Amino acid sequence: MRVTNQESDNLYADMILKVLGAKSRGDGSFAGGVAAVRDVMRELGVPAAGYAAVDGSGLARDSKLSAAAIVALLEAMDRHPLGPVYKDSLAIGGRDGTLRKRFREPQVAGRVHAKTGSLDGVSALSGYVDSVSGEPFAFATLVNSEKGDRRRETRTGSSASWPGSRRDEWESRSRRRARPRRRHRGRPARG
Amino acid sequence: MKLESTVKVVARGPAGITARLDGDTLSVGGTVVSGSSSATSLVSLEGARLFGAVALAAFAERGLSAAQGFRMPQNGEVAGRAVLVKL
Repeated sequence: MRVTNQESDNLYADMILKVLGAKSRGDGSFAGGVAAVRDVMRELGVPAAGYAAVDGSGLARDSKLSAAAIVALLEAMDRHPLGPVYKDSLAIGGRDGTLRKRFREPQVAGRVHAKTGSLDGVSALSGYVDSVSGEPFAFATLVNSEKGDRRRETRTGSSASWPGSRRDEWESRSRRRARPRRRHRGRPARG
Repeated sequence: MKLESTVKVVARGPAGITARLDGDTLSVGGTVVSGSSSATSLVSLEGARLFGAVALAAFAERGLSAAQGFRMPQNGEVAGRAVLVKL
């Protein structure tokens, strides 16, 4: 889980989904895994209307999550006995994983536990953040920058690059700008 | 509520932001066309224009004034949605 969530490894995510299906339903397929996820989401009280899943990584165009559904899941996991394990699996701002080089400022470092979601034209970040006064929050920010200019993109913090990682598909693509750009219209987030 | 007033500042931006505050939940959505946003000054985004600034502004209101690390185009059109909930 830590590799999947901290480094955003899509292969791991898809395989975990299939293992879930195999373990809980005796069906180690994407469909079996998705059915298992639906069971868990129902138990956690996440409205079924807020998500649609067909794979584990979220790379499939038909895998979708609303910000409200993500936050509902985060809230439920915050109350869950395994909540601390789940939170610990997320990247920590300024410390490790996909957020190692983001949220590095002293006031913020270590306060954000979150999962990135990146595709060409899509940037998402969801997780937990503690305010300076110690108040805990769950948040989900999904941005579709369909017409944005990636070459002039600003990240408020250092730019992160993880060679070999699958997590930031668009980053490597933006460096190969000569290629035609893949479009993901109407797709809110990647898992 | 202070959080709500922050959202209203952002809503004066170029286009199409909707924001709803329900208890401790802030929901924002819509489209921001490139332009200035007072919210950015709250989080020192150095002139970046972003729908996500709404969420960051909410963080700022909650005492996370240096919350940084969100990606954003410096121009162009950005659409999205953000939810922030106090646990």
